[in-house]
Amino acid sequence: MKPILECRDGVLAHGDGPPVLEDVQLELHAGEMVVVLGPNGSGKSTLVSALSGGATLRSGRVLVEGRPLESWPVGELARTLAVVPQHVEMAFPFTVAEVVLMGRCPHLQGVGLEGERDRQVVNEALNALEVMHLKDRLYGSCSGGERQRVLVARALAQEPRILLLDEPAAHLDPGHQVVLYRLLASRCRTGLSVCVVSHDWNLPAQVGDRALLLGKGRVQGDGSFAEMMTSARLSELYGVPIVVVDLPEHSSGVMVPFLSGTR
Amino acid sequence: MAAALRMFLPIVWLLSSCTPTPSMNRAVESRRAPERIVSLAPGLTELVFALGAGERLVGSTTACDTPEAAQAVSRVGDFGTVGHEAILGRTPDLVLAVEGAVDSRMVVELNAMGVVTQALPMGTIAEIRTTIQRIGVLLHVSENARRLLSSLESDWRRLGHAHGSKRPVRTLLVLGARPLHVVSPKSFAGELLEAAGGLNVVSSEGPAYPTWTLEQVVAARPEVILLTRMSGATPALFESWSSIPAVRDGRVHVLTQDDQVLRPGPRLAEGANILAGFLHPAFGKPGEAR
Amino acid sequence: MSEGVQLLTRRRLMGVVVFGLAFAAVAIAVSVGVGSYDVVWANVWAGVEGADRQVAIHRILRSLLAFAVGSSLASVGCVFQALTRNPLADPFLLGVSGGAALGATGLMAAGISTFTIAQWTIPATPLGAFVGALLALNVVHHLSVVRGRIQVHRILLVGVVFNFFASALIMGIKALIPVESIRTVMLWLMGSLAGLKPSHEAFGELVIVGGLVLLGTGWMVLNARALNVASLGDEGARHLGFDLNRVRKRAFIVASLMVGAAVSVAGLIGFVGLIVPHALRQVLGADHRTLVPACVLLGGGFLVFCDVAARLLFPILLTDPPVGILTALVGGPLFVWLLVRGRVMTGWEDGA
Repeated sequence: MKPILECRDGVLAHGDGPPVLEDVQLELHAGEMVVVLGPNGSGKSTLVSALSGGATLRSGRVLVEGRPLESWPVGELARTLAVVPQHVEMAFPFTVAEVVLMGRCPHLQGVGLEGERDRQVVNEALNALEVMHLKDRLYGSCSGGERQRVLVARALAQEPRILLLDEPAAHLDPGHQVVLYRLLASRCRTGLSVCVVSHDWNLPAQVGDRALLLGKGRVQGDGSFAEMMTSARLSELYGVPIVVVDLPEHSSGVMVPFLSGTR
Repeated sequence: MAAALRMFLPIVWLLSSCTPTPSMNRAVESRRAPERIVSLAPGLTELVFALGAGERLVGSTTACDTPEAAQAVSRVGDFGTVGHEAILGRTPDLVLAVEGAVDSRMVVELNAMGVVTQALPMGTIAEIRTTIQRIGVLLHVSENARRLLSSLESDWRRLGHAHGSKRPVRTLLVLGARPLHVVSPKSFAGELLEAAGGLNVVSSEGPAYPTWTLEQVVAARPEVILLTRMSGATPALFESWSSIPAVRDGRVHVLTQDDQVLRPGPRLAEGANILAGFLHPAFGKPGEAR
Repeated sequence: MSEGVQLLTRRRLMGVVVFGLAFAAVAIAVSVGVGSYDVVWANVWAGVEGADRQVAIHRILRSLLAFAVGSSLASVGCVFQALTRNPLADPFLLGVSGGAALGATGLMAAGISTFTIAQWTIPATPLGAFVGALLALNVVHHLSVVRGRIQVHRILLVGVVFNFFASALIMGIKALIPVESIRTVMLWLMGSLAGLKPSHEAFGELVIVGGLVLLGTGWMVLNARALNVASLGDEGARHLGFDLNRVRKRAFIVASLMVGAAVSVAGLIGFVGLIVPHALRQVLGADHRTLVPACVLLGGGFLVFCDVAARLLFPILLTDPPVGILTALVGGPLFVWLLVRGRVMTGWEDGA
């Protein structure tokens, strides 16, 4: 089956600086969830930017639904692919509802007064992320975790086929982290393709289909969580002692970093 | 304690009123006539030349362009923004400035440095007369000053004879078009207008150069409208306003020479005559018997 | 579903527009009714040729012009604030005030007061201001483009520096102008609607400025969603399907024409472009689909009221104060009041 999003021979860099990542090969298939992991500065955010049409792709190709990224008109791309950035500062006092409604923009024309359908989509998104109670609050006055959930809601309001998320759980408490990943998993089952950047291994391991490891300017590994999530690999990747413990009753593993090596 | 204070205060008050306040114009009568004069205003430059002391000028402003000989005098700055270094560079023994158009602190500083500096009033005709006398004394040309004053007096009397008995003509004198600003009786030009037999439609209360709207011109019903050359305005700008008497009767004129009218100086009789020429078209040149 | 998100309905948008139009109508009606000349309205309706008719026409033209200028300034201020993501942006920020002032004073210094083309005489000062404003925007724009994209922080900085530079040049030009004209220049720079011009020239100005306002408003309303999304930054806007770079370039063309025209006929009237968008944003929210029409209608009305206030002060001051002073005197306290009540700048990002 053809991948819905792929990157071939990607070389990623910022401006005229040295390359951040080289020889990047990535494939995302419909209904799949790929989790991008790696240490700070390994180029995870740069990768998300390149996959969504940002200026960070110095050479190589990115194909969305088989067509080169550059050939997609901006509007059509926005109806297909949605991005949840790490943080967003709004320059003006918009309410949470207004921010999520912005997600409907790719589907609107002209002056763009939203209709009933748009309202339903936005309501669903707000409820799914449990931020409906914040709808009339100013986005600028929300906490970091609340803002993240609002941004995910906005991306879902776009009704995309591909969703890229850059550390969406960074400020979320464990309860809301679970809500988020459950939501992503259920959407994947109905056809959404997800590529999520994460620091955390434990939750993504429970729902992710594949893990893509980035480190030292290259892709260090690409495979299922069972293959990728081993003590040896993780200790090598992060440079500190990490132990992976299997929890057969949860059919998933857990990784624990330690301050010092085993005795 | 309180009693002592009560005695002390009136004494302090008395003493304070005795303290001489520093005056801008020290009563200076130098024994020698000043040889190197700097003038900081065009009107003063004209006065110095009119008093026959033009060759003693060693510094003037960029705006000092009359009489023609004044253009050869070296420049120390623009009118209103001369720095004292430039003045000192000419090593003057007398500096003349217009009161109100010069930084009073600079006057005090220059005097304190030993450069005799006088700020003289030039706002009204009466003030110009006083200033002519004063400059005559300062430059040791009192005889010339007296002659200038008496010739101005006779010009003025002639004007009075020519127009004194006529009905004053309602006039508006326009200084600028965008925005429209005009001259009030309080200003120098306003005084000339009055002497020429004009009745200024602008009120004498309020500022000397107020801004007006066209409506106010309609309400004021001037019989003559005079546009200064530097306003850049032309009679064509009034063409849709036939309800204004001056426009209806074709009495909107441009003053091709407006220096004498706008610049307080020795040519004030000339200025008044120019205005009179527009207000009373039958009036001949000054000097003609009527 | 009756609960959940409230949409911006057609009704709400119409409500804002209708209210704005009513406000504008009242402002213009008051402005036409006020003045130092006692207009006999019976004569005007009867079409009698004379002072009443001439003054009435003059007042109508002046009021409409004030409205058009106010609309331009407020809406352009709003758009600049959105596209530079900066609450302090105003229509003159990007070098416009410096360019316009330089153009106007340059021509005054050269002693040129009119241009004659074929049988038309065009007043030089407005033309100089207009051309100056456009040139300035062009220069500032070019200096802020890096690799084909307008960099926001660069354009703000270059604009401010340009304005300072132009001010310095104007100081130099002062030395070349006849002393007595300096007053005219200063008054023009302070902003005024009290110019001496024949009716057909006033009408021409109104057509140009008014026409640009209509066209500009149309463009801005159609691009209101882009203005909303501009808040997210260039990258964020792109993710939602907007090419902000292109929008910005077009917006600067539209805005420069509108502001250039406004400044050329009325000088530099401050405050309107800065305060009106802020005040309206507080009341209506940040959605530009209602904010832009509101700025156009209420910004215009605001300037008309300020002009009325200026004219009402004439019997007291015996001079017509520059309307730019009134906008500051009225707008300043109004803004402080809004600020103190905590209604402005809440929800802005700075941790306050």
